[in-house]
Amino acid sequence: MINQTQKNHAHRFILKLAAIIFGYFFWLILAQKQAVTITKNIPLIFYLAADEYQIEAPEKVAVTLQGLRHQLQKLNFDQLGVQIDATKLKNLGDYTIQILPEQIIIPNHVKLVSYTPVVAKVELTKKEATDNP
Amino acid sequence: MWDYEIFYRLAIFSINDGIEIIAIASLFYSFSIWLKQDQQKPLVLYFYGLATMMLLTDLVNLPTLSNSFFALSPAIIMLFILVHQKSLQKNFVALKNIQPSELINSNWLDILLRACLISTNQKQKVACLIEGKDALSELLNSPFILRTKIQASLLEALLNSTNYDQQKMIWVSNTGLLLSINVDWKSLDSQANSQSQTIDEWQQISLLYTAQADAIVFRIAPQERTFDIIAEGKLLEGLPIDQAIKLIQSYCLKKTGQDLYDKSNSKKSRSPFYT
Repeated sequence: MINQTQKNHAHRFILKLAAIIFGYFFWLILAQKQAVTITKNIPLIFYLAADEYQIEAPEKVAVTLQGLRHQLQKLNFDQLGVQIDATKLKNLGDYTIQILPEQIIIPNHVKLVSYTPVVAKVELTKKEATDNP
Repeated sequence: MWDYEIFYRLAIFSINDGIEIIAIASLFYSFSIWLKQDQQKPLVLYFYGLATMMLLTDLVNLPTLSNSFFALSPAIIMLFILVHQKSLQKNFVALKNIQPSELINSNWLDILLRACLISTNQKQKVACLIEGKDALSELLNSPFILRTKIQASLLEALLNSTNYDQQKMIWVSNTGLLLSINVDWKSLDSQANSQSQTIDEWQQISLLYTAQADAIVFRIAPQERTFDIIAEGKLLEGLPIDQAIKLIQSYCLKKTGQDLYDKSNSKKSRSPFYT
């Protein structure tokens, strides 16, 4: 009787597991063509910055992206970023720079819906001398 | 909260997606539990086999086949519902209810079991069908109708008679009436062909009918002195005498709703055949 009960429990567990696996895959098939909107924090990167300066700015920009579910699933979030040309930052001090949609690096098949902040406060300071040569 | 890499990799981007998956998985689970109740055919295996095929056609990018499967899926589900044992039983077994009558004899079951055991001692096979509220007359082949009060002397005379067929059943009602002897189930060819070969035909048909009717069937093996009991579509084999008697009493008590044997038993609301 105990064995039978254990068997029943085991059967039910297997059925639950199978239901979750099949439920997930069927949902994925049905939902993969849906347009989905997601919000993700991506890094703010300054390129061509002078070596002697240090830039203090928000680390992340929250971007809202829209695309088909299977396209967003394959998206590599490590490759996304906001790239800002730092050559314009010539003098020490505070800057207010506007982040433009063109500066946000995203794949072609994904649509940029919105992002925040649109304007970033950036401070350019002198890099402190390090002990190392 | 949902900013986890694993969920993004699984294409689960919001809590709504999780709710949808749980809903679909629950449907799968409920349907497979229902399919599992079919003792004759491995419907769960067929169901998941077909579901795997549907997934594979999509995975290996066979769009025509995949779309056909998805378009036909309601029909496939209907087919599973139709071939399910319970549905077939509903189609085959059209039961009528018997109007509950007064209890003829309060200790009819004791008399019946005693007579059966005496007969077993004489190396006779005895099988008995106890009818509940569901009328079985249309499902049985009965040479004659007795419809008389169960009495020890009458049972003794019938069981010792040369006309008594040991391969057939004694038919009694749970109100204490002896309805007939030498009865057997009307065979269902469409069912019998698809039955498992591991159990006897009488067991197969009894399982089928007792799943729908509130009857109980038992057979005593004279050599092993054990009971095979079938009720509620379940078979209990090789039960020792004392355990079997308690079980039959408990079942009949539950079905008649009268305290005939043991008052403590009446507190049990759960069926003795519940597993």
